[in-house]
Amino acid sequence: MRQLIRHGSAAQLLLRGLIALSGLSFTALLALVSERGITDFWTALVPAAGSLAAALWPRDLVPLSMLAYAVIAWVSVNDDARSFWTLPAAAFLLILHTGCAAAAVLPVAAPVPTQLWIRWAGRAAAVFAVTVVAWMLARVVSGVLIPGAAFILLAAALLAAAAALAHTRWVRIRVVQVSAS
Amino acid sequence: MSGTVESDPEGPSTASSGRWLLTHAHLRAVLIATLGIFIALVAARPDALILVAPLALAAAWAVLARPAGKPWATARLARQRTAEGEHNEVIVQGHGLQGADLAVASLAPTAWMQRRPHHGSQVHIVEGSDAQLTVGADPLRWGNRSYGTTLVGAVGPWGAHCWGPVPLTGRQQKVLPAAEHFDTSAPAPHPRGLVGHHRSTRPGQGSEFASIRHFQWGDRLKNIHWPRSLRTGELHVTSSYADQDTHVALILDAQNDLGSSEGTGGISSTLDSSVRAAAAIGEHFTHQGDRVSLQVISGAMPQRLNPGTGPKHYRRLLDVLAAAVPAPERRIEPEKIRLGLRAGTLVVIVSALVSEAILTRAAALARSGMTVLAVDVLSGTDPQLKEADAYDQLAWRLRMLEREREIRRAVQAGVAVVDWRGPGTMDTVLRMLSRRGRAGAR
Repeated sequence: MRQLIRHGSAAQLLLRGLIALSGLSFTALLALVSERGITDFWTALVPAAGSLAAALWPRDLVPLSMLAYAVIAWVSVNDDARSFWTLPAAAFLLILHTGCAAAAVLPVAAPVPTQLWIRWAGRAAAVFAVTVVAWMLARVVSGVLIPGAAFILLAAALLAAAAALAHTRWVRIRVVQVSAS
Repeated sequence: MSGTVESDPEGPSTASSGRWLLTHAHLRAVLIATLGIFIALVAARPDALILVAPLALAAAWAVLARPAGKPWATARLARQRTAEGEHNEVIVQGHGLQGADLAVASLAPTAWMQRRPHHGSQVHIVEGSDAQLTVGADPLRWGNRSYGTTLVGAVGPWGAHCWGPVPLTGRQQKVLPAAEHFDTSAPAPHPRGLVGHHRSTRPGQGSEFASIRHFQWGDRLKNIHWPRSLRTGELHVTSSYADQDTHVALILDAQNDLGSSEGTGGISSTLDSSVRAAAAIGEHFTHQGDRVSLQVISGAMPQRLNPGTGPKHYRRLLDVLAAAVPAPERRIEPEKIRLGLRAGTLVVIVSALVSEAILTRAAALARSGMTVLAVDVLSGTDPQLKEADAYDQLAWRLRMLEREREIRRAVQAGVAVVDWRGPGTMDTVLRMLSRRGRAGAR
């Protein structure tokens, strides 16, 4: 932690902030779904502390513990198994996991290339788009209507994934052209 | 860590036999996905499945896009010869990185080495199977310097597979001293060579005009002075002074290193100043065609460089200077003091003049008829005594008084002592010595 404060690059700090923010957003969602308020120990304070700990120690077992606790807590407090809120909750957990994976492998002081942000964000968006489709199928199979927000979420995820893919392809072509010339 | 390191003193250091390992992130994704699926099946909760679906997909993606290559890496230096204050770089090349997302290199900090960027780490997006990462490593001080170990590694998609970090052994390289600015317009006192820059007292082949005299057998026809010959009706030729070189014997006193050093551009220790001054004097005389020899006086690593001239010889001189190690001389052998020094040699001793032994040596050389010039690098500088207590400061002042007395004795023995101040340091004293030499010749 001391190394992060002393030598952390702006990108690394941003990454840690993203991890903390996604964890805290999940915590807020958990508190909302549980209707226990933001001072409840099990649905607010524990996941919030876990989010901050995951941001500070992304290499250790903290993210694993935080994610396991998040899944169990969600299933415990959420009564509606087909709730729309499951989708943003899944997105926050995905961001937390991906952010921890990136923060664990990147040197604390080194800046992170922009291309890496785009590539990883595109992948996360693609994975999330598939998750949204799966959730919509589950709703259709059980004969429940799909809310309009789910379509907006799907479109946004697909658009982000396509943009990231196009950017990656463009960079690769440019690299090949430069090396050929 | 996966991989073995092979270090070849001549070639680049190589890390090979690496393999891709699973990371905590991948295991985490698999475990959380398994937990979600288990809860979904046992508790009949499809939302648990949705919640862990992105992690399960990420884990599946990472397995399908697993890096396929057999990774290895090499590290080498961009420049094999570097002077202090110059830029150098450690170039790390990663191979067999097919399918990897990014490659990372990190250079460990070492003494007297400034990393660029200051944290010494580089991240590179891998496109294809190879990646090249460059980390700046600028030496700050002359001497044998280690460039530090470089850690190199690579990561697959989703941070699920990693190779390394593998250490690539840092190279030990001689860092040359940066010569200070120095120039002198004064002639050498006793030029004795065949060709060179200095005007001889004798007439001969040279570029400097001496007189117009009658033609003699053996004179070159191109030297005939036609206006004078036509006017007088007799052949006259222009004569010139011979150009001669001199032997400058540089003696570097590496017995003591006083004060602290911050490397180039910062505070200099006495040995720093001595080495840089010797490099500057050597550069000046070798470039103007004089023969320069070097003797490093040190108890740890005494060294000699035979007389020579030209840029190549100057590079050899810098190599010898860079190897100077401060240590007091254990024993002075009087019969070896004049070793290799012939009459007419200009002896230049670069020293802090705090050791009585070096002043004794200078006085002995002066008494034997040599022209000895001692360049004092301590005068005018302030050794860092801020942390010293009152007793230490008093002892230092007493030693300085003793030093002044010892220098006076050396001057009485015929040693010319000048303070080092860069360009023009030796001008006055060299002119005086030249005049003294001509007066003696008459």
